Amino acid sequence: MNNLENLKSYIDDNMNNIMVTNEMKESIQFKIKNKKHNHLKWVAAIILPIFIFSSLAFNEQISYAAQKILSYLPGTNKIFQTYGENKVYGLLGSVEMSHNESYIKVNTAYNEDNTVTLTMEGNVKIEKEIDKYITVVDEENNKADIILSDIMISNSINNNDYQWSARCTYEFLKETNKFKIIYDNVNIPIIMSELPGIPLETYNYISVQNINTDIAVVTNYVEDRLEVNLLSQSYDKEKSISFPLNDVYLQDSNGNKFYSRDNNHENTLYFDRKLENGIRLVIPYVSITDNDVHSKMTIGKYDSLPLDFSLGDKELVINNVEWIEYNEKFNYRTPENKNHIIEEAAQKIKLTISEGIVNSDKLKLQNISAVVDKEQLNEYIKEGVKVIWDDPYADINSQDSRDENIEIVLSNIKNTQEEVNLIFYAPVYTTVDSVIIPLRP
Amino acid sequence: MSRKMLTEELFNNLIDEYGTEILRLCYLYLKDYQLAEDACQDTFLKVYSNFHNFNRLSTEKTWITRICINTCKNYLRNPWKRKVKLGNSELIQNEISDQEIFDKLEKSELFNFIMNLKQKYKEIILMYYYQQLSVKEISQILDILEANAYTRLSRARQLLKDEIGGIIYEQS
Repeated sequence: MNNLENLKSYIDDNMNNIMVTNEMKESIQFKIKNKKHNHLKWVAAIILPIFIFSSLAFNEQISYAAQKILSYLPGTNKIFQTYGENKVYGLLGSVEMSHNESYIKVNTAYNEDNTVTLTMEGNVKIEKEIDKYITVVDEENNKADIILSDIMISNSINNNDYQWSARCTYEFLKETNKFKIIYDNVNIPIIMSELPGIPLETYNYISVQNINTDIAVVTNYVEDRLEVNLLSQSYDKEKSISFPLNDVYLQDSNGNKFYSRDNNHENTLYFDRKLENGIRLVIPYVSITDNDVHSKMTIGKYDSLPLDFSLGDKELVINNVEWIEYNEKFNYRTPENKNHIIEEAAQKIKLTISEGIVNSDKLKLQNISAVVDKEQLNEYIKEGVKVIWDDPYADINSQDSRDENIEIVLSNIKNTQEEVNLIFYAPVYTTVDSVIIPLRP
Repeated sequence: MSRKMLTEELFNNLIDEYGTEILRLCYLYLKDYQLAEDACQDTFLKVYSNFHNFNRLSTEKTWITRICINTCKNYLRNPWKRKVKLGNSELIQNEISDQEIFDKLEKSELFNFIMNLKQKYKEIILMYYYQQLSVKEISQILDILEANAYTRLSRARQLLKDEIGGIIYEQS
């Protein structure tokens, strides 16, 4: 081939064995159906009013907040709440400063009291200590202190694709909506607008106290279908919220239930219903993942059961441990890209875990993640050898459960191990009670 | 701009129509079949998740290609740390050899030169000549001005011409 016009036929002819198979399609469908963690998606293009439900009518676990001022900024995963004392400012759009091919772009900015959180990206030189390169000052040139930073840098500075993104929180002397970002004598002025505060009324909002989370609902019609966006805000920074989207339904004043026709797995549901008086959204349970707790323990083949352990403020019990010997098979590739199937003796353990005592917070344990000390695992990854990778979406170690017990299987353990060191982490709890949110007709 | 609901049937149609081309584009980007398959699947998962945001200001193909390109770039940027999945027969039987495929493809000197271009030139050549997208569509995918896309395409052609000695065909 020496003609660019033939590139398509040349590539297609020579890659005719690379095509989307039915197995791949099924795999995509499987992942869609099993994608467990639902992330917030903020879809509104303008700041929308969200309203509060202020009664205790439905559930004693759930108290409905009153007289709060609420607003949200598209593009951020935050619901802003005040009681009228502080104003909330946000950057409505992005700000970019560029010179030739170098740039810094501020994608979002919002304040909370006297702190401002910025998400930025760019390809000018920075390092992990971003404050060495970027300074933020208020209108009177008082330098703001960086109190939180999360920076991702791709490639080295010498690479053409060098790029970084950062989320940083700065503390100012006082509440501010105007400030400057300074990089190498270049000033980027930022002016944030006041987000209109909406006094909350009786619809589309709920504060779920036992999980310290606010949930708001924004509705819209898309091609005659009712689009329902679920927004949530956990006030424990290390906790994330998800909803069982397929089980969420609308209920009319006669008690009839209507399930969504479709959802996008990012907390947007579509219903073939219109809003009407008395209609409400019922979330049968809310899942909350605590990413901030872990617990270590050693389990031996001859330990007597049950074994108690704590995870966060939960008391848990391992009721059964089953050690299973098996031959594991996996595929690896040599540096020459040849595939080999390897089979090796290994063992796995199956743990059955339940909650030790009935907790009073009306939360039920649904899932736990666990890992084995890597020194006790078979090691197959060698230098220069590519392994056929695991599916990044699969969760092979544990199994969700709505039953009393949770079963966790941990495999790939050396067959010589008589005991294993385990770390349990990221427990997922669900609310026992459903969350009911009246919707504004 | 009205938005369309993504039914299972429509989603399957999208995979049928664009899946293989997207998979091959991922492969050309990543030069690793397993990564390409992952990237292709990720692309369609994102298509599924974000279809409600598809505003139809561009074509479906343009939109999906944009997602694909960004997914591949992320794969190239990030050192992927993934677990070995054990005892899963689904993963075991794939015997596609990257080397065999590229041995076949690289018989063409022009293809070799394309693959060795800097990323930004390689991708625009692949989009224009392999995916047969217009310069306007490419500018939407790369989020650059149409004039810049044209300049980049011309520059890529020129680089190929310089390398290969003027024997490639250029469309005016």
